[in-house]
Amino acid sequence: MYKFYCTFFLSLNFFFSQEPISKQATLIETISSSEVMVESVGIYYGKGKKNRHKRKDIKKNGLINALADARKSCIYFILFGSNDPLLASDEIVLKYKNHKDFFFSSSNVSRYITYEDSKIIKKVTIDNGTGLKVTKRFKVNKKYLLNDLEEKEILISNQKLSKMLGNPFILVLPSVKKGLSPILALSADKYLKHSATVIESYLTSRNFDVVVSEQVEVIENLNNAQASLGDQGEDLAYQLALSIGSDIYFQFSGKFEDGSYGTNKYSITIRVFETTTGRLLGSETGYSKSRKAEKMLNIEEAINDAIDKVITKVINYWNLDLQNGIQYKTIIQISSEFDNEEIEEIQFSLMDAMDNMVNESKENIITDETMDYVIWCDPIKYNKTSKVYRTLKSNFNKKSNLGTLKKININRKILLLKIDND
Amino acid sequence: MLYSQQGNYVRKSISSPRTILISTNSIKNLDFDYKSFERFLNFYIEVPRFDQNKLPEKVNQNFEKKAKLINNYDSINISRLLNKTIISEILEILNDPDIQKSRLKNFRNESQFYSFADTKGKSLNLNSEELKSMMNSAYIYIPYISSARSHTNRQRIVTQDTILKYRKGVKIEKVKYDTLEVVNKYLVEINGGIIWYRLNIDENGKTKINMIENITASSSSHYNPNDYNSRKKYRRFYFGNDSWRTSPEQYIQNDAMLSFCKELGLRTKKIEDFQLSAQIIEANKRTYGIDIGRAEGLNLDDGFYIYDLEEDINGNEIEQKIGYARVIKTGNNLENPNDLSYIKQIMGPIVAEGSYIREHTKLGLSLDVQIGRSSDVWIKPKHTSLTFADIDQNIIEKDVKNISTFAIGLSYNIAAIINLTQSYIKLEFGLGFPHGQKVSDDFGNGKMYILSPYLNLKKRFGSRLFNGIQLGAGFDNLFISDSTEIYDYAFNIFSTNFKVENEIGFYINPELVIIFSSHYKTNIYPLSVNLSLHDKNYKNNNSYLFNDFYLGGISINIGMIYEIKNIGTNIFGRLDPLKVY
Repeated sequence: MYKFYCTFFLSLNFFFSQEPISKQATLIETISSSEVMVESVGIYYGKGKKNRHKRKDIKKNGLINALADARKSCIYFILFGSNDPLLASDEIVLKYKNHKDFFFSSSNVSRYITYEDSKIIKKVTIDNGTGLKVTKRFKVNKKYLLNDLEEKEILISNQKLSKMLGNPFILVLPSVKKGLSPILALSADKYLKHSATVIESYLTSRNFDVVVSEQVEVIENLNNAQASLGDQGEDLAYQLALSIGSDIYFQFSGKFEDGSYGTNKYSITIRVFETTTGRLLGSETGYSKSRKAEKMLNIEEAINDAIDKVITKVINYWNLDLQNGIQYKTIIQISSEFDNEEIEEIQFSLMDAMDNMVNESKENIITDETMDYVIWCDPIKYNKTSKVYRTLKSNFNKKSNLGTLKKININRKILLLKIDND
Repeated sequence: MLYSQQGNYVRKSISSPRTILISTNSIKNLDFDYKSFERFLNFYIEVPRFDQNKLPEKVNQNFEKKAKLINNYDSINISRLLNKTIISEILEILNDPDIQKSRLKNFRNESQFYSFADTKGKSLNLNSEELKSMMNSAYIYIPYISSARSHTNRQRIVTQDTILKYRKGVKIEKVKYDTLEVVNKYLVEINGGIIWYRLNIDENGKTKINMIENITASSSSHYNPNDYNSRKKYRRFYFGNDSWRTSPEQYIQNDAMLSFCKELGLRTKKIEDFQLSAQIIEANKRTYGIDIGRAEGLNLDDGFYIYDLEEDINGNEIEQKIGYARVIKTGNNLENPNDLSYIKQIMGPIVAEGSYIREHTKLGLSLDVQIGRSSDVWIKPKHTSLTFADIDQNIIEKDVKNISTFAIGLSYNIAAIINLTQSYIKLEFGLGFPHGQKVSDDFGNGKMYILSPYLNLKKRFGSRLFNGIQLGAGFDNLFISDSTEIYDYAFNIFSTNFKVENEIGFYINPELVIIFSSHYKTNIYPLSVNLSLHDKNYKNNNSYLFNDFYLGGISINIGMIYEIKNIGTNIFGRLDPLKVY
């Protein structure tokens, strides 16, 4: 009896499932921060006992149903398909399953689809005329879909994230040769400047906070502090991101290539780094179509092609990081006036002080003179960087009598501290 | 990615060096009328489905100059000549940004107008895929004449002269017979064709010319120089609303040229690359909306085959011909790009949006042959009374009430002229053979028949099975003639008639229709009754005798209508430029 019920309900689920049959689609173009053009395939199999009946059903209902399936397929593609689907983790998919019919109801599908070609790209009868396959292009408003996913609490909304963590601060910089200044490159090259503007515009439209730096001087302090670490010393972008206090920084590099018939196309690589660790969060390439002239347009088209995929990675990263708290890079310089024993005691005290206040911590480098940590703090308890500093200082003072913890520079991403032998 | 929606027609651009290749000695006894030939060629070849690449006059002259140096006009020599003379010019035209912008929409599919480049970017330039499509849709045509000549047929006729002489004051009449050779037929024959080349331009700008088709045509036209009215009849050649003064010889030449160019035009449209196609984007029962229209030169009643794709067990897509449809409304997409044209399916099962159509090119001329039987004809012996020639006899002895009919007709579709679908003008020539006629013994085995030339207007209603109404006016000529020992005679009664015809037809295929028709014919009155007896002519003025003469009545017919593909001579061609709907 149990088996019967199981089979019955499974069959019901199969017949009344709102998900598409075909699930085939291709991303054609990211038109804007909220809209994508998708080419999708819809399939419908005729109903009836005999082939004759199925063929008759195809003639009567085939196109309407196959097109409905194509519409659903393009929504399905945005949810699950492509390199960076909206529903990326098992946990999210599990949440989605309770609401899947909502997303594939015809009213919602029509709402998500903001444009549909009046013509079909291809219509082919399959399975000896008992099935129909159609291919068509649709423009989907991803923003509507995202809003619904957030409303159903399948995804966490940016606004919610910002309430808890604050919006991620993002810095956008071009990739330059070692030792060269990305800021200077931006002001010298109009195409780089345009690229940065397009990326920044895209990010702001998706509710990210974009920080803009046009001064190189701000990183001087950091330069000195990191001199002893020896790593990434020449990566000015990294240093700039740290000094400005961005959570994430985008680095891009692009170039024009000659296309056919005297045209040229732009290709761009966008790489996204976690500021505190310099960890690569994602990397994507984008290409424009080949055109004569219209270079600025090509740049924007190539960026549109790449950035949408990277953004999903940023959101996923931010979602995951939320669980640990706010991230800070903490660099503590220890005065050389201490002897080895004293240094060790100071370092242990500092470790204990940190452990008492952070959700999680990660050691990067510990030398006799410098300690490099990444710490995650409770965003409610420590909603300002100064609070983190104050607590760390007080904890350290409780643990150690040696030296005094002082700040060199603090911002929303970095605590640059020193311990002096006063 | 440039993609193609199935059934999408991509406009082609065409160029011509405006030179007609004519080999030496190919024109005989003819003052070739280049101006009119070019006029007809432009009309039938440079049709709205193409974009024209106008070459500068200097380039055309250069081509013409170099073409004269070639002895043998074969496709290789011509393509070499094209390479040397006009290719660079065509490339320049194709690369002209303004021309590219004006043709942009031809190479963009629907969704591309909603792309970033088109919406936010407001791009007016073609991308490389669109350029590839544009650069490889350029065609060149070269018309040639392989022979154009005029012939005359001569006939020897016997002439008689009466010579009057006076001998000793007495008038003596002497008849002198002689023979004379006269021209009774002036005929112009034109043979030739068009060679179509496709210009392939690769992504590095390298060009290659490939011959895609050499289409040939031949036509002829003639007149009788002995015809007294010929100078008057052929003094002006009409082509649509255009006309020009001609001599009868030029008129005949123009007539043959028109027919020749019309055939070339028809065959050009049949080349696969040039066939109009479209996707069905609106479907309502058997009426479908398509997005080609006047901009592509679509006309009412143009025919299209309907296709669908089917996937076989190996996954190959096979094109299936599903049905046939004709245009019932031509969209004015010149003024409003969204104005759809509508076609009505007359054959095959109903299809849905996404199916596509491909042009079935036709002349718009159809030949119909019908046989039938007419009743209620009244031809009484008294109607054939020869009392007016002082012979107290009737030619026939018995009443004639029924006749068998045979009719051959040529219909020209005028739907695109009068904006009314399935409308035709028809020239009909009927022949009737009376049943049970009995000619008096003195008049031998006189053959009695009725000749009926008619001009009809026809309108059909319906689809595959259709109903048609036809109104016609014409003449019915009753002839009886024989040569016996007693009488050498030819008798005829000439009457004016009107007829109303109703037909029911069924399309066996797009080119063949079976029809059943019935018509009612009424004659106004005999216009004249004539007798030619032993070379003397008599006229019967006793009209009261013909109060009950009736060549009308009801006729039942069966016949076939066949869509003509090639006629080789000009019929109704002068109406072609009037097709606007």
